[in-house]
Amino acid sequence: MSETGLSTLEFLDGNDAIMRAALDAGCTFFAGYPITPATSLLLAAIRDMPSVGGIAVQTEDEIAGISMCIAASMTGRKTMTATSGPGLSLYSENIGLAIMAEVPLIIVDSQRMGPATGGATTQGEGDIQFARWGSSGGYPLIVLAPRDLKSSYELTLHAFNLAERYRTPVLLLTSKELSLTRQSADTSRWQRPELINRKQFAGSLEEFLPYRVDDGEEVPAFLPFGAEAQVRFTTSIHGDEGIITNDIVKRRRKLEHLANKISWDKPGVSLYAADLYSEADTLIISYGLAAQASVDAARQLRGYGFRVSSLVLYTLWPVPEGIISEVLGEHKNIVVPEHNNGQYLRELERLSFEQNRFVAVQSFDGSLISPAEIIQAVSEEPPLLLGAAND
Amino acid sequence: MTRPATENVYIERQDYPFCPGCGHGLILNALGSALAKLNLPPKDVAIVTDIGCVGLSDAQLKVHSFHGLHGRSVAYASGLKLAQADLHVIVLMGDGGTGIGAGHILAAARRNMDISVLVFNNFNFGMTGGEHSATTFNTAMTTTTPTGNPEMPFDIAATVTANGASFVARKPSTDRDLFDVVAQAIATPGFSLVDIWELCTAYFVPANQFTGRMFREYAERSGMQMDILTDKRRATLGAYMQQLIETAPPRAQSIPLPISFRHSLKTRRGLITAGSAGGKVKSAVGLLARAAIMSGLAVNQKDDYPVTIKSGHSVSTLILDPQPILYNGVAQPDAVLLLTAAGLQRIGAQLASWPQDVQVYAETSLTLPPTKARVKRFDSRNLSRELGKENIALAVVASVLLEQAYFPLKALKTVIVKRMKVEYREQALAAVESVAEQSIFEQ
Repeated sequence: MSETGLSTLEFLDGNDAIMRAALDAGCTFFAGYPITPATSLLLAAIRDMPSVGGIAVQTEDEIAGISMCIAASMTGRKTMTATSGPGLSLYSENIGLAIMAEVPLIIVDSQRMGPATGGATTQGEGDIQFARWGSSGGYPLIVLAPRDLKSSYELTLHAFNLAERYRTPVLLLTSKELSLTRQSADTSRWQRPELINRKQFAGSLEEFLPYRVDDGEEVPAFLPFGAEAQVRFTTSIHGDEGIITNDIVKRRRKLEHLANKISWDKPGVSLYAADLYSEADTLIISYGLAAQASVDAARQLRGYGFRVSSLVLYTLWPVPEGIISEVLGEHKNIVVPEHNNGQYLRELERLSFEQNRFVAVQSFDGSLISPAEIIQAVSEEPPLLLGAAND
Repeated sequence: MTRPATENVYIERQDYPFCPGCGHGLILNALGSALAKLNLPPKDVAIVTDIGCVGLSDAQLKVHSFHGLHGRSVAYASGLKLAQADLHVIVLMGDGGTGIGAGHILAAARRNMDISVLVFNNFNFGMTGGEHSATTFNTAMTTTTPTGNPEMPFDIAATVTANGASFVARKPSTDRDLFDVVAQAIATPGFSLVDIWELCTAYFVPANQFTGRMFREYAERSGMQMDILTDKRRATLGAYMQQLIETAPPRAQSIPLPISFRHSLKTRRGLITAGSAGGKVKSAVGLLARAAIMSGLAVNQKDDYPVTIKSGHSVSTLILDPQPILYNGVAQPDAVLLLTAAGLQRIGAQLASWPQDVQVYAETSLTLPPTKARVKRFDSRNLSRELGKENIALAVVASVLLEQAYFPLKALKTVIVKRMKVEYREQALAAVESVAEQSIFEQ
């Protein structure tokens, strides 16, 4: 119930929540190519965009989809595209361009079983490392992963805010189960963070340089294509003028800027839900769909008298190292359920302390990890070591 | 024809970084003159450059410039134009770009995207070392066709002409009126393309003893038309989009589901409804789901169907829970509705493992594998005859609701009245009322 006493219960799926948030964020441009389980976002955009004065295009392929969104973003619009693993593969080169040219852009990847065409209607969350390392050069971007309808809505808004603030592509990693499962939800409980719009250039037009980062600023100030001042945009290594350069100083400055502008300790970047139980020695770290079973399992285990903490990560990249280091230091046994072959476990192990023992709970055959499997992993004595399990 | 001499409004610097004798500089000069002839405000002009030597052009210009990935220039140009209709968007791409990006060019022509494409066509890859491109003439020598090109050249101008372009021309870069044709292309509302033939003095010229005098001869030999191929008008995609916006209804508001009924559940229930595609399984279960929400339950509906949609199984799994739902797997259902053979085939393997507390409602003609689950039967032929084929699933769902008494049948009827399209509503209500009067299950 809302505060007005009117019902705010609805029946909708994860993609519905994402598109609602996109429109609420002020997104007015969507271009994409049909692919299960992301297609309903394209359909919703085609249906809804004209109503908000926006444009939605079904493109000839995924490459055109992301290309049009990138260009539209440079006219000042907030833009979104959506695909699944096969399409994300085709986005790869343009994701690199969006990083290089500092383009605010939302990319939804509704994951399904891979590799390649894999299982079109089968669950999978195997694009975790691909999302981060899928473009050449290895420069960072932001990757968020919702776990339910509420976080699908809220993280989409955060994604737009982060894209605008840091002039970067932001990937939203959802999956078939979340995209297509219809659920009841009290939408009045969804939080709406204040909207952030990219910083506009406010100086005199003769002084505008499209890639100059002023002292104390995080990113270059923006002017759209069509502005009175000349706007240059380039995929090539460039200086402040937006022109390809061989100048080693300019090159280094640009690349250091790209490497440093996105990190876990920048404002608004590290999003998570920590539910820490004092004096617990066991911690479940989860994200995406496995977070649902993890939170369920933690709740059940506490009901049985076990002391168990839970950390749900909403930001996957950059790895929220602050909170992870903190909780790894406070716990011994770390249970890591994932719907893949342990793609985030390696990030956690990288940050681990001597006392930490990791227990992996993994499913990549399309079946869902259940709370019972997690409870079993937690209560096994001694805890199963990942190394031992792989021998 | 005199060329306007005001290039410097649009061209920053004419110290072009191209090889001596390369045609690229001639084309950039023609572009500057064309823009001057049209007297376009520089702020309204956006140049999109592709990859290759032509990609060096953007640094020479005084208008907005967008230098993107190889082959994708037409897609970026389309995005710019759709997002900012006031821009005049001009693509500068090489023949290499027309090969790797052919799909985008075709799509832009079919859409009649209001952009102009200038193809800097010198029949080979200049930047990477003289390899053959999509437009290399048959038998021509390049570094990757050392015994002569075995492929036929891509007739880009004829192709876009055949696919809906508004203005298409083919011109040698050396023609004095090139600027005028470029101006016509830019002024055309809709997709325009000028295939501009030129010399690559680094590779193609020496490899083929090629000269500018051979353009027309090669065109004839390859069956390609020079000069203006088409000049016509039709609606652009941008105009279509604008019309959609002007005639769009206000943004749709969600219709909430008020809690108006009481449920009887203490713990979670899982229902699997298994039928065939086209059997309205998803819809019937969706109505039950909404009725459950209106009865204060948390609900989760997962649908399973093959990619073919209109054939094979259609299975909906519904969770009803008095508590919020986190994990939404159903290891063992409480009730299973088996409507058709396709549905049985999809979930039948699980039947053997289900214990006695699973209640199965199965169509009477289905042969079930051995199971400990309790089974009730119904005859779908009767339902089809009495209630209509499209109401079978709903009739069975309503009957199970009556049996299991999760919440009042009235909740389901309310959802039907409020949510179903008027043309289906009467029959659906009649079906629900009919099964309430007389059970469909065999005694």
